[in-house]
Amino acid sequence: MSETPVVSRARLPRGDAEVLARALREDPELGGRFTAWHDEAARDPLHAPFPPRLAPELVAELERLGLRELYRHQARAIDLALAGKDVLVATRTASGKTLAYTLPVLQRLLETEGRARSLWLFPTKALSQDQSRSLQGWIERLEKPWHSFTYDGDTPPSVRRILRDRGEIVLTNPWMLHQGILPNHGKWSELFQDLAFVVVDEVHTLSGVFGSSVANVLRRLVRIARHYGSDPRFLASSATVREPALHAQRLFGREVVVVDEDGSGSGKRIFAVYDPPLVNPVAGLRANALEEVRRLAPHVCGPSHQTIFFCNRRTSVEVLTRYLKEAAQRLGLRPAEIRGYRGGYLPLLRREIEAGLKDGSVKVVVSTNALELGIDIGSLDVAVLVGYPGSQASFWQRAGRVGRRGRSSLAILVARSDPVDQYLAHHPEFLFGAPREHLGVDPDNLVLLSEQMKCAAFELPFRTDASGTVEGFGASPNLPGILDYLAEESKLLLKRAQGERLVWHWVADAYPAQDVSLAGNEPDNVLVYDEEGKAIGEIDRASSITSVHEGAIYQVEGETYEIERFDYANRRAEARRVTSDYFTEAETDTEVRVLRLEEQETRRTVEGREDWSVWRGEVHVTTVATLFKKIRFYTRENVGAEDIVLPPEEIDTEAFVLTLSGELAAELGLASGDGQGGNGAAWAGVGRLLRRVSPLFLRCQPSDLGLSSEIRSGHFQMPAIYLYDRVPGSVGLGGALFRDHREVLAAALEVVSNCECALGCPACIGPVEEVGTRGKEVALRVLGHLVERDTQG
Amino acid sequence: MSERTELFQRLARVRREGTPGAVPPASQARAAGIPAGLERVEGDCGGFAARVRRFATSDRHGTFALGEIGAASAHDLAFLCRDERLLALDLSRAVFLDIETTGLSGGAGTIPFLVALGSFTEQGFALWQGFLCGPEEERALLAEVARRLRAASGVVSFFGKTFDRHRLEDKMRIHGIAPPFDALPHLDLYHPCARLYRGALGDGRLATFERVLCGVEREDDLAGSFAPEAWFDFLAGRAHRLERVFLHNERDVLSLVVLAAHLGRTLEERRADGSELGGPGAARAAALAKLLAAEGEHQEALTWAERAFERAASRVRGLEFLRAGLKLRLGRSDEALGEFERIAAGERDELALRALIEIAKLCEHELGDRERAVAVVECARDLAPVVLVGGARERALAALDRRGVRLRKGRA
Repeated sequence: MSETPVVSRARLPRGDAEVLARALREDPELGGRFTAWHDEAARDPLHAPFPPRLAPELVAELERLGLRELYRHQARAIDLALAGKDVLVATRTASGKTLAYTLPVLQRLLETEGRARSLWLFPTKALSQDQSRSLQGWIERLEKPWHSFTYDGDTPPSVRRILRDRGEIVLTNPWMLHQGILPNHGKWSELFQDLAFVVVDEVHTLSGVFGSSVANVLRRLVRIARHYGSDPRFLASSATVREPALHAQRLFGREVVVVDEDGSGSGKRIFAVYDPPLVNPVAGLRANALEEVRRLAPHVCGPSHQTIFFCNRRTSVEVLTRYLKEAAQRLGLRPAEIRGYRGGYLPLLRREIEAGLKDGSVKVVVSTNALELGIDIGSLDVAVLVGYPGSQASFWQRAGRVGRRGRSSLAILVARSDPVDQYLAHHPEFLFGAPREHLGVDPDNLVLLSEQMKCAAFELPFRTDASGTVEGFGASPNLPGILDYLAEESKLLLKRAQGERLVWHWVADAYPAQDVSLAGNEPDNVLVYDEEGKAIGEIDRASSITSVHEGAIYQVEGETYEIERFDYANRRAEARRVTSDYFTEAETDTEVRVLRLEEQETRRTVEGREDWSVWRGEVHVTTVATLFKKIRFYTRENVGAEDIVLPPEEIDTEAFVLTLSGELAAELGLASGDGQGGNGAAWAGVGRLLRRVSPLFLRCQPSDLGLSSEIRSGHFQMPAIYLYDRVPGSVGLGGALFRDHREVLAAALEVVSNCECALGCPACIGPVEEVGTRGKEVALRVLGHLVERDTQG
Repeated sequence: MSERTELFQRLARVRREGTPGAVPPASQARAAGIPAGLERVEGDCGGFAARVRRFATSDRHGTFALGEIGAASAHDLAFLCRDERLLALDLSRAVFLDIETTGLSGGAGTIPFLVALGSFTEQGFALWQGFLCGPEEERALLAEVARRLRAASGVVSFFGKTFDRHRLEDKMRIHGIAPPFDALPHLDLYHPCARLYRGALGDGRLATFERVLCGVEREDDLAGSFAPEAWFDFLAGRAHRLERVFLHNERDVLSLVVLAAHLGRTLEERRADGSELGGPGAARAAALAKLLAAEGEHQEALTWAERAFERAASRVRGLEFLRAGLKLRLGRSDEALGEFERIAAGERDELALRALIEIAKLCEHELGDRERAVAVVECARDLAPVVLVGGARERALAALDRRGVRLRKGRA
């Protein structure tokens, strides 16, 4: 929690981040590579007195922590929560959001003498354990006989029963709620009878399939609470996002008051965008971002301050940690002061690194998004983001890791040779302006809804109300149909009439939550073992086929292991420690089959012929990991490739499809059938570009979208690009692309036309080796036509 | 195509469950196969069905008469269960409980559709079977079950502390009914049966215990695992297997009575009529020796250990070790030493190691022979890595090293 007294540590003198920034700006070699500098003046905090309703013992405790007043947003959130409103606090990292929901919970506990219970949901196990320690501290200092505990897979069975009956504050995660607590609500009846608050932390992480599933889990939670006669309020926190009220409304199924006027103060914040130099102006190829970060490191790392590097991939974390440790002496540091950090590390190692960051003994940390969320590591001084993290919310969360009141801080985004990064290098206003991306949440997605209704029916019967509407599970028109389907076809439910009402009861010998996944970082992970049988890391199942296949190089804190055996069925990989001078990257092969098309928009020529179309529909996708490449550290040269033999992954999902008419394709130089492969390559390049710029408008990673492009599609008999949700059943990314395709096409066109390369490069349409010598020209024509035609209507 | 048909087709496709077979019409004669004697019960919370079957105390289940329960010793049962609350259990006023559910997973969707409560009356034994004609009757049935349990002096079940109790308790909480179990002594026959006989019989199933201990042979019994299907069939209008579920459940409850009657005579080893108690006597004697030893009743434990030896077909090293330990505690050190030596000289197993350690202690404390104690510790030190693994090995070696160091110091 931000109000924890700061441990004194070796600090830069005031203003030193400004000194670093000035030095970089004026550096003869590096200075010119910064495409943008953006200063945010120090902000004075906006304070408000403690709400009068806060009990004296809470006020005394706050004062003991050195607080005389609250930030205005905290005071407002507390007032609203205590007035019985559902509240979402959407302010920056380290703005004291935790306190804004902790205080109302404690206040209600005091007022009710421990009766008002609460359930807290965190997106990761680590966060809930972090919070649990902090809450326990509050309870001890208030000298109350209350219990706050973390209920997760690690809670011993002997403790569980005591905790179920006596825990005033239960901290858990969506998976435990889904599979453990809700299906067994009879055991938790004490909690549900007196459930006053449901706290949901970091709700901006609840998007996509995961968010849509969690929205349904929350519907189940509310249904059960009402069964026991309670009506809990939601207290939620979020990073700054676009349309927070709408997001919360979809997630919680009700209106929520949003508090987003940030009253926290901060020192001066300096942001910079660094664009690596063109190393091959003809190919438009820029220097590798990781290599550039090595060059920047001596300017931003040092013994008198703390620096955090964020990488988007686990492999990059390992590669960079290794580079920096090797260069430690030049940075004025010992290798032990430089640490890697990512989700796959085991808890003890992570705790040790977190403690090192807090007490200042760790000077440099290289992390994935694992340190993006609210793990308490205190505030650091310099953040370097190796590549755009894929969303504005993540960008701000990461940049927010540096900067404490009264001190200046520096955050640098290092652009990769990637269309989005290059777009941002030239449009930094996108980063600093209002959030633009949609958080996709669709709890009524047919697959997710029907699976979650199965789980819900196990917990309590479904009923219709007097007007014939199914109660307590949103407003999808499909509710009665799904229930009938589950009764008549799946034979899981029994439909009965009770007077005027219909009731569907669960009547099956099964425990549905066990088989229903929430997706997201499911605890269904693959564990990686070394030759002594010691677990050295874990990885989610979806990524496993491309990162722990046999022959893959697996890295932990810069050490390299080779995967010798991958037991896909039993989620177990065995690794042997090796000294490797290369790492591995896997490739996949994908086939898309159209099942049914649901929406279509066609642009016509002046003569009224079809010119091009966009579609939304259901598709069946088969993906196979085919081979992996071995890539040498430092030089990145490709030193070999081998096959991967693993079963194909098959899913049904929703796709956005772009098709061009045969005439148009011929006119633009894409026409198929003439054996000129270069044209198909240009079309594939357009597809890759669309996929990569999509995250500017959808909250997703490019990797959440699957891609397939065909110069002559078997289904459409014309050129087609498919962009689909990689999640079975989809979470509406296809639909969102269908809706926003104009913006996506326009951004793609802008990336290609602004790119300095001559014939195509990784930062736009793809390197010339991939797209052919006419690739860029054709792609420009295609995108130009699509965007132009569109503005003509 | 209607919207509904279209939705069904989409669901069938995205849910990939395949096309299920034809649905038998729900209107099929429901009366066919409905258990005889089932009657409607209407209460404050709605209705359900129930039937009552009456038995005379002279009626037999297996080789036992139900009335033999009268000779069961509450003391024996409390001792075998290591539960003092059972001393207060009056079996003539207790409820014999067994339920049939829609599954073993537990959770809110597992329905206890048949709840049997048996109890003794002045006329004999009455078996009440409360039954759900549909899931909507659950609350009414559970309210009646809770009422009947509250009126009883205790509960007798088989594995009920682990299963039946929790299924009922969870469901009662869901329906806002206060669960009565905390206030009731609960005799769960599984634990004493397993403690006494599981090793000898090879499994811990009710069917095994009732057959071996009470001579119960079930003919034409429907396995309990078919019960959920039978109830689902009934809900779909096909009641053909339901009577067999009721019968299976009835036999389970009668087995509770005779098993309790058997266990209540364990220390006597004779039935009420003076005839010998059945079952594997050697295993029983050995288990009693262990139980008594744990209670600190060394003399009595030794007597049972000797009996176990007399009855055992082969030598049992564990029992030998127990007997030697008991003799030691009763002050018969010479005998104990001899027995430990025999164990140590036998197979090289964990018991041999433990015997060596006992010998070392005896040499040091009783015989004052440190010289020999050191030598014995050395032998134990060699044996430990062979017979132990992991943490146990580490701990044993550390303890032996400490003992060795201390002995050498003392000797020097």
